[in-house]
Amino acid sequence: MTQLAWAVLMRQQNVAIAVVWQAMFSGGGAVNQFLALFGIEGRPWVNDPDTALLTLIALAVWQLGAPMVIFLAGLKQIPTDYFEAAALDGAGRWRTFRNVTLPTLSPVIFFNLVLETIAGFQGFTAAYIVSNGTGGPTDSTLVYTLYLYLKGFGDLEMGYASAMAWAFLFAVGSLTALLFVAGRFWVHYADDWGL
Amino acid sequence: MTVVDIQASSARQVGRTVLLIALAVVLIYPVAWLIGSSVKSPNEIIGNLSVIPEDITWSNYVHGWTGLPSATFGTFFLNSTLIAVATVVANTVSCALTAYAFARLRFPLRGWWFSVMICTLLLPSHVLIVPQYALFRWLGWVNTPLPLIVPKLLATEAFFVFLMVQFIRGIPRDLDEAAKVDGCSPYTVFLNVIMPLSRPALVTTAILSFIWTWNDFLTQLIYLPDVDRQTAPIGLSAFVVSGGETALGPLFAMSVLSLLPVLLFFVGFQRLLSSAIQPARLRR
Repeated sequence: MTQLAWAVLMRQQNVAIAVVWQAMFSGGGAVNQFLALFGIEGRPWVNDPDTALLTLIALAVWQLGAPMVIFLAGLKQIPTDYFEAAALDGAGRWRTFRNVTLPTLSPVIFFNLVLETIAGFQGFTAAYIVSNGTGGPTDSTLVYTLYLYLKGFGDLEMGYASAMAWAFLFAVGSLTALLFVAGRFWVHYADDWGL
Repeated sequence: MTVVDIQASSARQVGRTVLLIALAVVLIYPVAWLIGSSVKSPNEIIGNLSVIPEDITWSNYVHGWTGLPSATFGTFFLNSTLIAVATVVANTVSCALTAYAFARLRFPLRGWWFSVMICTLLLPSHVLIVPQYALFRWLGWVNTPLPLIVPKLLATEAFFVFLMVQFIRGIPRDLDEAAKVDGCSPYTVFLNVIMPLSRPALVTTAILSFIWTWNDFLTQLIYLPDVDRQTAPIGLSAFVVSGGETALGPLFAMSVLSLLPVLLFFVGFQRLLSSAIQPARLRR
């Protein structure tokens, strides 16, 4: 539970963090200065349609604290007997990881996968800040929720925005359902894990 | 173990440590750089990659505070605080009451209502935002903090209801029974038995709802168009639009201030939460 609360906190979208991100990935920003130390010429990452979305992805990856905390909790719950048994059977570190850790951790991997997928679709703040609320340059950061906001509250087409919201729910719902179906093939729950 | 073995394993150890430190630096750098840059001079922000400023100047904070022509950040922070505090109170009280009902009382369709509540947990907020806006506009509440606070009085944050239901279920029912024998009504059981024992869950709810509200952007953006009603995140975003790279220092300074409550909670949170979430250890 502690871990869940932490994870909830860490998944927060924050305007100030998005502000730093924009500054770091702008033309004269820290990232380009760092690259220049190695003689690599950077580019204005957030203002380039080819890379603007990449910076948003980098931000999401950078916030890996949330899934990490959940993974940590999951790892702690694997009974040490399993590892002892694997060691007795002469399994090396890789075999142990592949055949003990991964299968027992798979429910947690699945949980993180579902959560991150849903959270990924709902991202709004960073896209808004990095693009000054436009979704630019040339719509490269126009994520679905930002478009919904611009339609509903910029153009005041509330009906259209409502319809978009339902399409969104349907799309994310279907994708989640798909993940659950696919999960049957690789997620092992403790109760049907014959030991 | 031979000397070579020990050397090999310690070399691996060093390699691993270096890798982990590098990773930690990548994770910490953006926030550290933000804090460091907020006290740098404008030239230094552009030119200096280092986290530690060469000479410290507080002028960014002064300029940032009054950086927007129409309102100071004092207004924004005051509005943010008011909304966050009101939300904390409303959320904690309403979610505790609701959770108590789900965990302890018998009423018709209890299981069904519980699953409805869980379903709202899974519903993305974007689906609700348009009809909610239409409703609040009809009530004439747009441009007031009411749409951000009043719904919280109705235990709409299913996450907290769920959290507290789980917690209250961990409190032995014997205590309720004993209180009832002593003549307590459901209300006095709630006030005198459940509430004191649920303090950890209440603290968690309060902290999380404070930070959620503090960080919230979309709803505040929609409901608070007037500048003297706006909150810190909205003020920051307006700053981004108006400033450009010249105002980077003041922008950073205000970003640091707006992150401050969150950072403080993160630092103090570990101990608070780990003591908070353990199911009430009851001395009997």
